[in-house]
Amino acid sequence: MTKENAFLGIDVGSISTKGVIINENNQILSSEYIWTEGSPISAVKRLVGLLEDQFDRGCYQIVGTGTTGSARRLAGVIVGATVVKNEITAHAIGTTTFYPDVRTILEIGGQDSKIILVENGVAVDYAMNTLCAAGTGAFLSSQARRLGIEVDEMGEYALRSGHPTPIAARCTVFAESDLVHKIQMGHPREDIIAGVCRAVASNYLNNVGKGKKITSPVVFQGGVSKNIGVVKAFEDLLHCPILVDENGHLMGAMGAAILAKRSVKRDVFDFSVENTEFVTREASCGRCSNNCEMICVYRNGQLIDSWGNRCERGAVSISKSIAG
Amino acid sequence: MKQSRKIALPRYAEYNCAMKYVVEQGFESKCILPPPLTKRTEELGAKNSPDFVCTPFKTTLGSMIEALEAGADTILMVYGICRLNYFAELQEQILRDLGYQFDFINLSQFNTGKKKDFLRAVKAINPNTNAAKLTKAFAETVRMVEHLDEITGKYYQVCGFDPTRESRLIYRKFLSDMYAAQTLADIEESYRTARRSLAGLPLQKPADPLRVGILGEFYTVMDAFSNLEVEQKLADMGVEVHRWMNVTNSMLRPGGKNHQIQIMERCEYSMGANSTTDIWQAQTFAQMGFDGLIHIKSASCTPETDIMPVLANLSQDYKIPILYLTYDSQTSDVGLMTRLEAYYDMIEIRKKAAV
Amino acid sequence: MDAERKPITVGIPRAMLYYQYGTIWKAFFEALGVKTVLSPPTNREILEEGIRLSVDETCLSAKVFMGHVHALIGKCDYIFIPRYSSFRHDEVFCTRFEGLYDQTRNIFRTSPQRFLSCNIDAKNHQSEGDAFQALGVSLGFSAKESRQAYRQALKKQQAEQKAAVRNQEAAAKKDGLKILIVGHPYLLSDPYLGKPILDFFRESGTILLRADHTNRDRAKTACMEFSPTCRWIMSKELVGGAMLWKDRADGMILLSAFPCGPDSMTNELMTRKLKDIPVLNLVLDAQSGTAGIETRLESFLDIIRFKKGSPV
Repeated sequence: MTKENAFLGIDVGSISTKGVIINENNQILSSEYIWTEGSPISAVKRLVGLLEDQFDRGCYQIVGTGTTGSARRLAGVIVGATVVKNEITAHAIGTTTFYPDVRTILEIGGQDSKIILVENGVAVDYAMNTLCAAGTGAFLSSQARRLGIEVDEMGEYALRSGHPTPIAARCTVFAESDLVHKIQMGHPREDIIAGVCRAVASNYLNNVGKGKKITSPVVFQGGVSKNIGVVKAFEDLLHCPILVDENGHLMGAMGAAILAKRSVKRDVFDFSVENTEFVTREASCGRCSNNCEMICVYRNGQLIDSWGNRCERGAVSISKSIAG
Repeated sequence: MKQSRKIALPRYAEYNCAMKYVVEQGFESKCILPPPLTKRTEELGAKNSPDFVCTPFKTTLGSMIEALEAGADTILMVYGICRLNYFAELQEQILRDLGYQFDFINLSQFNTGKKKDFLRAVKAINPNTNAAKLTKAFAETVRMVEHLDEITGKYYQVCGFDPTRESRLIYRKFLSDMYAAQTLADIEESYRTARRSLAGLPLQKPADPLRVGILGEFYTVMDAFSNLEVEQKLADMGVEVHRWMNVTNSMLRPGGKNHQIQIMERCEYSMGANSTTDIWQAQTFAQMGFDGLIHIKSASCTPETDIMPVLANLSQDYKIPILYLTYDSQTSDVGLMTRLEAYYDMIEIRKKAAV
Repeated sequence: MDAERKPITVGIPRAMLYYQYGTIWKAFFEALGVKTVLSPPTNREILEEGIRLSVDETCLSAKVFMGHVHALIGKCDYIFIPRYSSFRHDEVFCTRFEGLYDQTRNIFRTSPQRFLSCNIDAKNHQSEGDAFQALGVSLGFSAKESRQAYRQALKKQQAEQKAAVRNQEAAAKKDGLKILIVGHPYLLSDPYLGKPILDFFRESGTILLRADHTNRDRAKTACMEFSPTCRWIMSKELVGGAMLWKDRADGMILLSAFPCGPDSMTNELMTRKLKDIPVLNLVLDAQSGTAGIETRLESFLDIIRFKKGSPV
């Protein structure tokens, strides 16, 4: 019996690692969402194991693998990806596949936030946060910690508020001092939390969304889209419904899988990474005062890739060490 | 005696070869080249600068420190038409506070553009300057700058389509020749060689490659270190990169009034510094049917921030996507690469969809 | 005025250079019989609207300005945004003022609102007087009427400035702790941005001196000595004013709006060069409001009082 083709997509972000396996019709065969916990390599290995448990190896065979997210390159090396794509493109592709009519994609992740404008299913403009991490998932987590609640609870608290407290959120430092100030002034906790959610949304619109024409339908995704308080804040500020897909967090991985499907490159993926040892080492180039921090990836003790050097001086030393 | 001055100017793109030429051949003084810009330069500058001054201030300050470390005894600093006008005075104060001993020639003192001021500046650099030699050296330096800009422009347009990577060697050789040049003949010969070699390269180029126009703030848009080699990165993705802004176009052949007239509908007056030419470039690239524009500036650059609403309208009118990049000393290579790759994907998919 | 001339109303945003040259503008229009309408004093709503409209990276004052423009939309025939570029080759404006008119027009492109400008650019042979004459002519008045209106307006402005200096002279003669505050008038005089700080000092019983309440010509000369290549006219007046008043003050506050280009440099130079007076740097940021500022002001006063040996 010939097996049907399947495609694996992996999205490794700073906070979470997501993976899906789809068939030719973009149906999800397995999907998983775990924390990166600062170690992309073990996260990818764990993720692959969890995906394998849900996967029917008798019927399907993975013939293309795509990776995306901030650790896309490392993940790509580990799984032997046929496509390595940046997360902006992957999100656009993933989302437009499921929402062909979408016009605006809002995305707020752990460290980054972005906006993608779509016309006729094609991304026509995008922007990403420029300077700092204010208004991203990392900001929400740190504020939740400060307020002594779980980040997952923030949304419910926020919905109970009638008067969100105005919170400064231009940058994390300013926001923190303002938040402390507002707590000391005696604002109720629900109002402060709602204020933080609102600050995230308005900061996003003032920075990433500035000058972009936000047209409905609007899809909101990324880790922060799970926070109902922020969703509500966007609805209030944009005066339109905000769609949040229950699989929204998987869109990057979906996009990576679809890109692997569209690519002509084929390579069977057999889940064997779980038992392979991968190690990364930091190396300082030291050939000039840039002192580039290079990342070298070793598979079972052998150097297979490296990156991080700004010039070709570093590249030479790598090729030598491969030869040696 | 001040004849044995060892003069240094901070690093600025590859123009230090021209500065060296005019100092050595025209002012008959020794020129100290500060080391090429690195992370260390940036960190030295950022550490000693006020927080929210623009990045070029910090980078040039860092380069001055490295020039003094390299043995310079005189720092020469230029001026401009924005905060740059005031860089020199504050930088001198910071360097003095750090305890360095040096002479500082602040050309901003002589900024009226009148002949009298020019002569005072010449005298400050070297009182024994030979007028005939200086005039000749100036003319030759202009040639060098024109050649440098022409070869640089050509290089970035071909290097992405050159499978042998020969163009890199040609460009690098040309640059080192410019830094070593002592006569006009040296300059002209290296220029001709580089031009011929670049033109003779067998290129693998699609009939209709993606074309991207780069514009923005004077220092960061031209200085490859400061913009994290955005042009090279784009070229390596197979993009034909166009940049109008260089010293030749903006200072040796300025077209200010004409540019202002061409953008009159968007912008009635100059919005300061290079805003007029910037908007004009964006409009021209858009009219030429480019696939995208990249606007580059350092954090807190006032004039470049202010033209963003104008560019946003232009982007809507011509349906051309603009990628806005703001650089500060914390901007990372990885973050830039993600943005560029995504931008590339977007304009490529758009182009295919349009066909 | 001619009976057949249609009366027009000009809106003036109560922000930025309004606090520096607003008297001239209003008096000029009044002298010509043109009605003027001011946007309301800055409030939270204006600030928020300004933040929404402006480029994120622009300065707080420019954001506030856009909020004021928004507040005037539809309430007047024209919104007046003069372009201030230069008074002399060595008296120029921050590029933000050169671009403010065109920037605003681009931000409000989809609005039917009409804008009015005049171009003060002496480096390109158009003095303030020329600019206002041209402005009057463009509104249908004669060159002579316009020039006269400008002269009258200028006189009024000068008289007002003189009175401010005189009042401050009188205050400086009184006994008590004196604090010199150096900040652009559009920050200090703004009821939402600077006023809470001024109020704090008033309530704490200190005598407040403002660097901008100075004879502008003397200030320019004083700045020339302290910082010869400073060419921003407004910084010259502030830095020069600070030099002229500092010996009579016990402490100095440098107040700036994030991320003001000229202030980022002149304030650094003053902090570095002035060793004989305690200096406090304060930076106002959009949204941050006055959170935490009060604490900093209080401790600054305490330090000064402690140094002077007066009771804390």
